[in-house]
Order: sequence, then C-alpha cells, then structure tokens
Amino acid sequence: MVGEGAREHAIAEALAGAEDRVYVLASYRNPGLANVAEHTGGQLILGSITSQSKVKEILRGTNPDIVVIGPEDPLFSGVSNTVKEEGIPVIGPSQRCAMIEGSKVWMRELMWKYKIPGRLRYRKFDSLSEAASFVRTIQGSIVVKPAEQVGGKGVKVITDLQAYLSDDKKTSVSSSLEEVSSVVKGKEKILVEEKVEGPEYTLHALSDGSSTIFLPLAQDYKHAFDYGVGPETGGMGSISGPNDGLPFIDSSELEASKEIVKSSLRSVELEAHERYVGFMGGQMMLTPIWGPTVIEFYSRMGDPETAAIVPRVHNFGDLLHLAAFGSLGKAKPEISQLPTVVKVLAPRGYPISRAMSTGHKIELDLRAIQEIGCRVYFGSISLEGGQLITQGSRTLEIVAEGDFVDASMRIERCISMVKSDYPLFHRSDVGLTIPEQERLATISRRIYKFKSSNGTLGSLSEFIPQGDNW
Amino acid sequence: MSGIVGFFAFSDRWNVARFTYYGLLALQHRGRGAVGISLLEGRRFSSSKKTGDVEDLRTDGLRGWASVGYVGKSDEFPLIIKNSSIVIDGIADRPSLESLAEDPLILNKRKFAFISLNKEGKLVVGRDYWGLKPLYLGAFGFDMVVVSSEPSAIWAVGGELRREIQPGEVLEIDRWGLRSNVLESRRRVCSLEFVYLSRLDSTLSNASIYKTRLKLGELLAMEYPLAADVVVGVPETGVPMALGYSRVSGIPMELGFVRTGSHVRTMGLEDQFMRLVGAQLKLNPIREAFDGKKVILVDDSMVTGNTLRNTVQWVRRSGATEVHVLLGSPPLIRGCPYGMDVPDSNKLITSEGEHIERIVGANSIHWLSMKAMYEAIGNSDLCTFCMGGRGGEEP
Repeated sequence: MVGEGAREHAIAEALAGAEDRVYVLASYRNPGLANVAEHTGGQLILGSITSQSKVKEILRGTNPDIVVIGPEDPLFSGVSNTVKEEGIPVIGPSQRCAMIEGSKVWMRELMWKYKIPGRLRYRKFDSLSEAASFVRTIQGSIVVKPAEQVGGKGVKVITDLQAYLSDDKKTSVSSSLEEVSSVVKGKEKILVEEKVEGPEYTLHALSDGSSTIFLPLAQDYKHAFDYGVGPETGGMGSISGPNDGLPFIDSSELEASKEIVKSSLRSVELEAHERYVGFMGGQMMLTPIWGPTVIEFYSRMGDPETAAIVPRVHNFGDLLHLAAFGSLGKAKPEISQLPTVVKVLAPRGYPISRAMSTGHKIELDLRAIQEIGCRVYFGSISLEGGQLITQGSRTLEIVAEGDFVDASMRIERCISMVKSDYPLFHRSDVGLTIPEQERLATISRRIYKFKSSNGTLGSLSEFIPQGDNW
Repeated sequence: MSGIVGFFAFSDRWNVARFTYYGLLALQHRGRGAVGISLLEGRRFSSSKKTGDVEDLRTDGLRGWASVGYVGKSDEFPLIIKNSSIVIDGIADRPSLESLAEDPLILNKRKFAFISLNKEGKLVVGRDYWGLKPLYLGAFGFDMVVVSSEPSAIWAVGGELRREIQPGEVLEIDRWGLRSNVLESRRRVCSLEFVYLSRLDSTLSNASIYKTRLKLGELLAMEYPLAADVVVGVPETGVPMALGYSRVSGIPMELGFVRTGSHVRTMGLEDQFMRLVGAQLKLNPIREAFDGKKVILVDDSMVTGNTLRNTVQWVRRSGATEVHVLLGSPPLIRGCPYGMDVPDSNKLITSEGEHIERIVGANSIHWLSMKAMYEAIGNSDLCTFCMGGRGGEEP
C-alpha cells in the first residue's frame, strides 16, 4: 500500500480482510496503517510516497503480489509505472492515464473530443491577464480553477445571476487568479468553466484494463463548516447507500453516470495508448443542463468517500486482487444494503492555516467507539513517541453503518470520546441533508428531462445579453 | 422594525460593501427611515450612515471583507461599542447593548435579534429569546457567510439560504469555524411577521409566508361568506389573502390598485402627513375593477385606520356600490412591547369601539378570528400580545 491517510487505512483493512499481509509506504506513522501492518505480519515503512527509488527499494525488499496506490501524487509522479516496470501488478493508473485527474484541461478536451455527455463549456489560459480579462467579460455564472489538480484547493465559484454585483464578484476573482495559479506547474494555468448547480455525488469505477465494475455511489461534504458554509475542503464527511445508490439519484441517472465514467475511462486508454488499471472516480452533479454531469475525475478513490464505500463492499479486498490480475470480468461487488455516514474531525485552522492545525495531541478511546458500532480511520495524524499528533489536515474519519439519521447521531457520541486540549471541529449535519438534496435533484430532473425531450440537452437556456462567448 | 444583514468572507480579497448594500435593499420592506453599514478592513471599521432610503447610501470608496448593515427607523445603527459594530432588529436599551458587546453569550431575555462584528474579525449573530424577530443563515459559495433578517438579502446577492437561526441561538463565526450556542429560549414567533411584515417569498418557523397569507384569505371566506361581486386585495399583503378568499368563495378576484414609486410601508412612517402621502403614492384605484360593484376589500390589519379610510373612499369614488372590509388578522388592541410598530391602545382604531365601520366608511368590517389565524399559520408558538393574546412572558 502506497499512501498514508484515512483512505489508505480503509483500503488496507479491506486487504487484511482478504488475508493479505500488508506493507505500507507512508511519510508519517499513521497509527491505523501501522496497526494493520503489524496485525497482518507486514510493516509500515517511512519514506516519501512519490520517490521512485524508495518504492523500488521496498518492492525488492518485500516482493509483494500486488501494489495498491492510494493517493494521486504518487500516480502523477509515475510510481505506478515504476511498480509495473518491476513486474508487479498494480492498482493505480500510469502517469499518462492519471492525466485525467492531473490536468483538468486535458480532461475537458478529452470529454469534448469523444463527445461524452455531461461535459461543460470551458476556456483554458496560459496567461493570468488573459484569464482575468475573460473572467471580467464573460456573462453568467462561472467556476475558476487551477488547471491542474492541487489537492482540491483554489476553486472559485461565481454565481452571477445578479448583474448589479457582477463587477464586485469578478474583480475579486480576477485578483485572486495569482493565488489560484501559484501552485500550477504546467504551461496552462487557469481553467474557467460554466457553473452548474444540483446535488453532487461520486461514482467510482474499478478497471482491470478490460473489464470495469462500479462501486456504490457516495456523496462528500465540501464546505468546512456545519450547514454547508465556509471554505472548500477535501471533504468533511460523506455518505453512501442504501444499496448501490443514493436516495436522490434514480436508477436511470445511475446507469447514465456509469456510461459516462466508463466511456471516459476507455477514452483515456485511447488517448494514452495504455490500459487503465485502477480506480476512476467521477465527481458528478445532477444538473438541469445535462442530468448527470462531470465536475472532475479522480484517478484514485475519493477521500472521505472511501471511508463510506469500503465498509459497504464486503469483498473489497478480493476485488483488488482480481483487478490486479485482469480477472474483474467474473467479479461482482457484494454491497451492503444499509447506508453509511462518515464524519471527519479536523483541528481548528484547517483548511486555511496548516501552521495552526499541525502538532496537536489528541486521545481517543478506540474500544469504546467500536462498542458503539463505529469504525475509525486515521487520517492526517502520526504516532510519535506513543502520542497521536495532528499533521495539519483532516485527522480522523469516523464511520457508522445504519439509517442516515441514526448513523449520524451515533457518530456524534463517538466524537465526544475524542479528547484534545486543542479544539477539533467537525460537521454535525453529515447524513442529515437528504431532504434538501432530494429537492435539488427534483428541480434538476424536471429541467433536464424537458431539455432532453426537446433536444436541447447540454445547451444553456439563460439569455446572455452579449452573446455566448465561451 | 428593521432589517439587519451581516457578511463574512473567508478571504480579505473580497470587498463586501456592495453586497451589504444590495442585501439591505432586499430588506427595505422591513422598515424605513435610516440606513447604515460598517465594514471591517484590517482592524478598523469604516462606516456610512444616512437618513433616507437604502438607495441614498453611498458605498464608493468603502472597503472591507466583513460587514454589518441596518435598515429601519433608528439612525444610530450600526452602533460601535468598544470593539464591536452592532446592528439590531427589536428593542434594546444601552445597558443591554453594552452587555452584548462585552459577552454575547450572557444569558438574558433579549428582545432583539443582533449581528455584531468585532475588530478581531469575529461575527456574532443572535436571535432574541423568543424568536420574535426572524434571522437566517446563508452562504455565498465557498467564499462567504451571509446572515440576514430574511432570506431575501441572501438571494439578492446570489447566495444560498442554509437555515433559520433558532430562538435564543447565538452563532459565532470566524475564519476557523462556526459555533452554534443554543441559549435558553421560548419560541414565540411574532404573528405580524406572518400577517404582513415578512416578504412573500420567506419561510418562517417552517411555514411559507405565501401559503399562510392564502390560507388567511381562505379562512376569512369560511368565517365571512359575504355576498359580493368582486374581491380586491389591498397591495401588497392583502393580495394573496384576496386570492385565498376568491378561491373558496368563488367570487372573482380583481386587481384594484396600481402602485406608484417604491414600496412605502405606511405603518412604519411616524409623521401623519407623510403617511398620507405614502399611502396615496402607493395606491391608485383602477376604476373598472370597482365601478357598479359590491366590493370586498381585503387587507392584512388595521392600526389607526387612516390609510384604510382613504382607500375605502377611493374605492367608493371609483363607483363601488358597497364596500365590505375584511382583515386577515384579529383586531389590534394594544401596543407591542417588542418593537413592532403597533402604537398604544388609545391610538388604535379599535379603541373607537362600535363605530369603526362608520369611521372607515365601510358597509361592514370583519376581522379574522384568533383561532383561524392560528390555524392558517399552523403554529401554536405565536406571540399575539397586540391582539390581546399571549405575549412572550405568558406560559
């Protein structure tokens, strides 16, 4: 297992459940991963997860049957290629295939080239000043993103149905372009997309290079604070289920979403001239303009979606083995009927100030939490000298299975058992927002079905005074 | 009566001055006379206050990433006490405002909703002990928190409504989080918010204002099935009530008035002359709706009766053969101790006793019963003090 967060902890436990011996490459001592490694007779090895030489060294030392890569950074830096060169089956796409996540421009170009449904209009910019002038002149609501994946940060959403506030909104955003693009390494710096609305959901596919299976839907909670306010985070919670869906996505929408993710995955293979082996996550939105629409793609599993999904797929570990050996054709995920809810704990300061949120001690009574029937996945937290020390990002993910409201309440009890002399925060509303999501879905559904019936799916319905200058 | 709004951006890059201005514009129906905003930049407030309408407020040159705004009768808000700039809806004496600036979490039976911004960059938002004054939380993307007396201000800037703030709840918002403190409370929502003050697109205590006003009209039709040719609502609040009356009675509804100028709430204007000017500007009758007809005229409530007197006269001069006035709430019989503009008993027309229809010049006047009003709102936790019912203190 390459990676060190809560997602990797969840996947590693599933591998342990498949009776694997788990070795972990991690840049800090995640207590959950260390525990899985120890109990299975493996080992947690500290080192850079993006270092090819470190990876080679560990492969030669441990001689694993399969390698699973959790996060995106090792994929972007070619760890998957390195593992493959060593002749070991690997879950995690090659550097070129991972472009679907690494370059948001590449992703949009691919969707348009292959005419995949659920594609949004966009413009790419090498120059910040050109981007700024486009942002100031484009009519309507937009989303401004860094052109590359930079840890889910830097996205600016501008709702611009109010012409009278247009200048204020766009001035603020164009002045923040420098910040948005500062972490972008490539030539293309900024991506501007049309803004869409509707409930969001994530659909993960697992591909062995010829067959594809789908994991149950999940939804993550992006806003930092309760009731959906505050800055964007990697995700402060998630839900999944019941069965293979979510209450606000109907079966035809699920099937259409599968088609989109599957055809995108095959298009990536055509463009990259390589087989795609690993996870691909479609971060989708049910929009009035298209129905199922792609916001972004992951070249790995989403976090915290993983913590909601993995406990619901009973043969998850086996599926990884089948995918690694190209045998997914015969496989079927065994999905639990009951939903799950995940709440994330983060230290005060996250996501704005890493300095504030790093280096704090926490304590938790794992056994008491398990007695309530919840699981804990350790995230950005390190075991140092017998103490648990926060590493600056999301600390813990607590999972409960059961009806949404009940599961959400049970997690609250668990959270009260996590102690720290530094304030930790979480969202109490995870799992309690289904009625609102159903309402949003109903509105989107009425409009996209109408558009579908009159052949205007994918086109904008609003009047744009100065013409559609996308 | 007033409208209050607060903006809080998660980055200094935002200037919320114009957002605050447009937010206040969308709250102007809650009270008029004065307007003011405070913006925080660095550790300094810059403020602008004006007697007059929101449109008169200049925002050029004002800058800040967080703000509070006020529109209403008082010209003292935003009030800067110690390190905080405070706006309120309701009534507060100086000591209670000072204690608020000192510690917003101190338990007391506040008769006002407030938004307070301090120089350290913390926004504290609280609803009164009874929830008499409405207050809502919203978001503008990942960039801002918006709080407002009504959802209208959140929508006006392109934000999304998140939820109603609960009676007695105090929210503390800073860059690092949002904390909800639920202090002691007793829910007693102001019935006049439902009857006339809140905007038609608001939802209060889980009840849609629009549906409530339709229902008030429907119940008027059940309680007073009068024989008439047309039913006409007095804009704005009387219109959905007339529609409700028409649906149940089968009597056609007509649009009887055209409004001139911006929305003037005559109930909020102190000066007698200005009230008349306001009322006349507000409404001009459409002759064809009334000529030769028996008319049912529906309005939300009657305070001094002056505005309604004139309206009835215009309807008669437009050719109505009979004018029956129906009011979508029980009679107002005493002043409001919680800051609604209901004057003392002796200024209320109900103090005239039996002669009200003669004063107003109507063939008949009927008020909706208390029971029916409760039924229309669908909520038993109401303050009906001004109607002679239960106030905040009664169990």
